[in-house]
Amino acid sequence: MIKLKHIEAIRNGDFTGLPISNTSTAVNMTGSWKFFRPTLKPKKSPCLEACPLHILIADYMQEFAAGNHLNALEILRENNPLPAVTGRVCPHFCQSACNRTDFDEAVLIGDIERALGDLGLTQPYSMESQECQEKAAIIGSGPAGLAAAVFLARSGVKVTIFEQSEAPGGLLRYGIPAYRLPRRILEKEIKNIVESYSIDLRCNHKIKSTDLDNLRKEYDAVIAAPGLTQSSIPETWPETPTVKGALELLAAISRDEPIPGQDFVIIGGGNAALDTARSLKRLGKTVQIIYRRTIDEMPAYPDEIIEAQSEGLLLREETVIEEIIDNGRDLSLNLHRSRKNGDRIEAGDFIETITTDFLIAATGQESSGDFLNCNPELLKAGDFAHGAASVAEALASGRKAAETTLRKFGRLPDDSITDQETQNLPPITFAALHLNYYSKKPALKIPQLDEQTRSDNFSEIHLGLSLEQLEIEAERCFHCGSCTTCGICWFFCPDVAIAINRESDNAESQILFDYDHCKGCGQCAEVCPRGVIEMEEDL
Amino acid sequence: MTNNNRPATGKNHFTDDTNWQITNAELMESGHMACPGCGASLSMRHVLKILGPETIVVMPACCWAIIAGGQPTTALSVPLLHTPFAVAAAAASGVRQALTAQKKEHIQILTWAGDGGTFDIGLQGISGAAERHEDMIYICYDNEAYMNTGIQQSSATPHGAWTTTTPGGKDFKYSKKDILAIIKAHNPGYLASATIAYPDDFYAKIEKAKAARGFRFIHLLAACPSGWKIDSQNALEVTRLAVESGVFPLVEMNNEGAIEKTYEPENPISVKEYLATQGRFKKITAEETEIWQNEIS
Ligand SMILES: Cc1cc2nc3c(=O)[nH]c(=O)nc-3n(C[C@H](O)[C@H](O)[C@H](O)COP(=O)(O)OP(=O)(O)OC[C@H]3O[C@@H](n4cnc5c(N)ncnc54)[C@H](O)[C@@H]3O)c2cc1C
Ligand SMILES: Cc1ncc(C[n+]2csc(CCOP(=O)(O)OP(=O)(O)O)c2C)c(N)n1
Ligand code: SF4
Ligand code: SF4
Ligand code: SF4
Ligand SMILES: [Mg+2]
Repeated sequence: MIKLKHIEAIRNGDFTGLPISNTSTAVNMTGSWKFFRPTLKPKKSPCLEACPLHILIADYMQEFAAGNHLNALEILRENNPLPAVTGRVCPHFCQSACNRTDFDEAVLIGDIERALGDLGLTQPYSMESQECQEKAAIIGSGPAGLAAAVFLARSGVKVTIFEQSEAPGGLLRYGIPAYRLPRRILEKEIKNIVESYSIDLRCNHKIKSTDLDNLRKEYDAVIAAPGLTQSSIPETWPETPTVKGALELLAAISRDEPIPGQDFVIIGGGNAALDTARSLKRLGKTVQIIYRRTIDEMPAYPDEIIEAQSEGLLLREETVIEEIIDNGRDLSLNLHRSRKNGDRIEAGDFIETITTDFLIAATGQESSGDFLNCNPELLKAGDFAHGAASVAEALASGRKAAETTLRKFGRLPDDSITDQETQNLPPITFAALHLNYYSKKPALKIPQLDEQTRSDNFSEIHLGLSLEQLEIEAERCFHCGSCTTCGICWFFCPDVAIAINRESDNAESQILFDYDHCKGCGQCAEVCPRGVIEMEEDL
Repeated sequence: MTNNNRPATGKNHFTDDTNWQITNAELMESGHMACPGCGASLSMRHVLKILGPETIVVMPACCWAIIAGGQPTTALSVPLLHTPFAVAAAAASGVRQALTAQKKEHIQILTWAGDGGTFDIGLQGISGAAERHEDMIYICYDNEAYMNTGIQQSSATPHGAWTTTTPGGKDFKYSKKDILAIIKAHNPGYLASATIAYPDDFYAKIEKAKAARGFRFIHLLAACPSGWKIDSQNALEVTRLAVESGVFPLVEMNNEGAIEKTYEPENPISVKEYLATQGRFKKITAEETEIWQNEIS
């Protein structure tokens, strides 16, 4: 009850005796009410899980969107030594797994990777550690060999690469056509690696079976990454100059060698078939692909098939060659409709006989380095180790070989069990994200050369976008499983029990829960868009 | 605790879609007495962030009078005057007049009351203050019952809802009082409904109320986990669904004095879906749900 004497006192600035509160409620440890406590539990993103190189995509997207391009590049390079290459030719396993697909469209991870890779062409790679005594020899300068070299050199190992061809890159140079991977980009990226890591690259240096013993004496470790660089031509085909392998033809085109003949028939449905056909078309040849199954079943990347078709390439599906007649100057081919017989495909009804100058086999790849197989101690990497696959898988395999080698040198600790445990947790699903505060936004459109402009040359088809334009694309990334310090949890905490410390370098201490006052309501866990907060029993 | 306010992306503070700035300064502190997940405490936190330190809060009996802390503690870093249940708007008018007499027009008066204190017992005081165009922001945080005294129904309780005084659900012959229409009839300086589940809409409306003059009224829907029979972690989501289902539309009075929606759900959900999220609507029948759905559409 306020009495007159109080009013008198207030006039004199004296508040004693009045029911006035001026102590903060923060003295109340309301945190003791809770049964559950929020904890930060970062998780793997599905894109990372799907990427053979386990690139920290969710993290570099964050730096990229913030305009910190070089930081993003640094994170990208940690796992991927050839981003300008993979940004162009990788089928982007990551993108197919992107959680944003369930929301609107996948984030264009590949295009961002490519732009970062191009930025990196003028940025030397960072060295991590001091020199050491060990030396390693690597056979083959394809992506597997290059990755092995980079990850060894980063730990200070002196690396020598032996490459039989006149230039490095393997199938990147002599397989994948320039309209998909411009040679100047490839050359710059490899040059940057070789120079940054002082790699001793010896081209025109084929390793023969007789060289092996010497290599093993001279070097502390030898890694074989000779790829599968030769076409395997079906045994039933006649041995004649008008029958060729796709890889040999692609290599000749890459070397700007003159390609005789006008009519070409290519057998196969993989990348090699499509790349050979599209390259020949650009040289003004008449080309058709004959494939025994349906177009949908072709192992080539779907985008490549669509592009090839829009370029007017003739694709004959469900067709087989029943007979090849060698006419000396050219060949006659008896085409039949294919017919399924269980798992096998055989010739059905006769269609027609066609004549062609050249018959090209794009039906398989084999190694020129079989002798390397007989040595069990030799570490193998890339296509040679796991069969024809992809650039990203070859890079990952090269890295693995490097790590095995480093472990052998005692320069890398064994995989700790806890590491394996966290790595084995499944990636965060779309259902675990909370996206109420996101709205739909389609992916950017990437410009490309139209069919007309690209029909007779090897200019790169995909034009790419600038780093600034792509920042908008990176902002579409949900950063699944990685805290971005967005502050949404902080915003929605009714108990003011979350602090965000963006200056902290340590992800764990960027979000601080005030457990003295957090009542464990669980709303922060329900609003975190990236699903990184989990409620745990408060013991 | 504070948020180190350096936007993560250099562009947006909150999500990819919001550009508004949120201050780090907290005028409501931890250790308050609200239940876990209380929508009213979260709403107060942000209202004060927007109104700033030059604010005096006037508050009648309600949950918040307890949340604010027992003497000698207070959760607010601004002055807070507790009043009897029926008289918040009248007491606030007095504070306003006193400040005006001292030429302190810049200080905002925030009258903050529950639905019981607004829709029912405080209504005459509000009407008087509104009629006089008292320069204040009146915010009713509506948790749809007398929660502080143990969940008794108010005239803001929706039909069908369980409370301790409507154990079988509030009769469908009563509908929630149209408080906005009542206040609108007084020609207020600003009028809107909002909820913190729509932060940008919420911030925009409180900012507008702050910038306007005269008697300004905002009807906030604020989830009450215990009164609504929901789990505390779902409080925000249930509030969001109230809007998505059309049960609680987000509106504002425009310059012509008409009430219009400020948000239209892209993929509205049914009333049934909204009701299913809460234990207090467990006894509602299919026919009643249909009546409710028809009231909306
Ligand atoms: C036509 C074609 C298109 C493709 N397109 C794509 C694509 O778009 N995206 C994708 O991800 N993957 C693609 N691939 C697959 C990808 O190119 C390969 O998986 C990858 O290049 C394998 O890398 P690697 O390092 O294991 O071997 P390679 O790239 O084959 O490199 C092996 C290197 O070892 C050298 N070498 C071999 N033997 C010796 C020796 N005895 N001494 C010294 N050097 C030796 C070779 O000259 C070669 O340079 C394509 C493959 C082909 C054939
Ligand atoms: C005149 C009077 N009658 C009854 C009460 C008891 N009382 C205190 S708070 C309250 C309920 C308030 O309900 P509401 O305004 O909706 O706020 P809530 O508690 O739900 O936040 C009641 C009935 C009182 N303080 N004064
Ligand atoms: S949204 Fe971002 S983090 Fe999530 S899967 Fe897609 S690219 Fe990866
Ligand atoms: S809501 Fe944002 S700041 Fe909070 S944990 Fe999730 S990502 Fe981090
Ligand atoms: S929102 Fe706040 S009070 Fe609720 S669990 Fe999270 S930190 Fe605790
Ligand atoms: Mg109430």
